[in-house]
Amino acid sequence: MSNVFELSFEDKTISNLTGNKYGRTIYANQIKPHISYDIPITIVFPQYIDNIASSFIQGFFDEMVGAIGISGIEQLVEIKSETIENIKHYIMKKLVL
Amino acid sequence: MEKWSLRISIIALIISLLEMYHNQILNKTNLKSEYFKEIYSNYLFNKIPGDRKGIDIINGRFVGFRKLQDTLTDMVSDLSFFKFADGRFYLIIKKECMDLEDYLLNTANKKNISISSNPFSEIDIRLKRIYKIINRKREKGGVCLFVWMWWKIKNPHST
Repeated sequence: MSNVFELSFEDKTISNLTGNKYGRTIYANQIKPHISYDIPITIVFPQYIDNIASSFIQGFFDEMVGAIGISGIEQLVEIKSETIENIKHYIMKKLVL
Repeated sequence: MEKWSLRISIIALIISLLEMYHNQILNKTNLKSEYFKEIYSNYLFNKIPGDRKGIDIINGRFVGFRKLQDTLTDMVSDLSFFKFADGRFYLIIKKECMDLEDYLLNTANKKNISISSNPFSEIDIRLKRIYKIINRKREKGGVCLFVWMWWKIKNPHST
C-alpha cells in the first residue's frame, strides 16, 4: 500500500488554497479512502499551489489530528512542495492555532 | 457589646475577603496589561499598519499581502494564552484573523483585479474589527482596575 498522496485540484489556475470546508473535501476525496496510519505518510502539494490559508490546513488535517494527534503528524507525515519553502513548519504553525 | 464586636469582626472579614479578591483582580489586570502591551507594540502599532501599506494591485494582480498574512498568523499564535484564559475571545479573534487571511488569498486568486473593485476598503474594515475586538478585551481589564480604584477611594483606611 502506497501512502504517498499527490494532491490535485480542479482549477489549476488557482494558486492559493482557502476554506475549512474545501480542506475537508480534499481530505475526504483524496486521502481518506486510501490512507493507513500504520506507516509513514507523504503528502505532496502540486507546484501551482504557492500559498495555503490556515482555514484550509485546519479543515484538511482535522481528521488526521483526530486519528494520530498533532505529535503523530509531526512524526509520521512528510509534506512536500516545490513552491512553499519549509512547508512542514508552515503547516504545523497554522495547524496549532 | 458582644453582639457589636461580632458584627464588626464579620464586617472586617468581609472587607479583607473583598480586598483579597480585588488584589487578585489587580494582579491579573497588571499581568494582562503587560501582555497586551506586547501585542500592541509587536503588532497593532507598527507591523500591521506597515504590512497593510505593502498591499497593492499591479498589472491586475493583487500583491504584497503575504506579510500581513504571516503577521496575522503570528499574532493569533501569540494570543494563544487566551485559548485557556478566555476561550471565547480567542475563538473570536482567531476567526476574524483567519477570515481576513481567506479574503486576502481569495482576492489573490482573482485575475485582472481593477483598483476600482477596491479590496483595500474591505481589508481595512476587517482590520478595524480586529483592532476593536482586541481593544475591547484590553479595556475590560481597565474596567476592573477602575472598579478597584473607586473602591479604594471610598475605603481609604482599609488595609
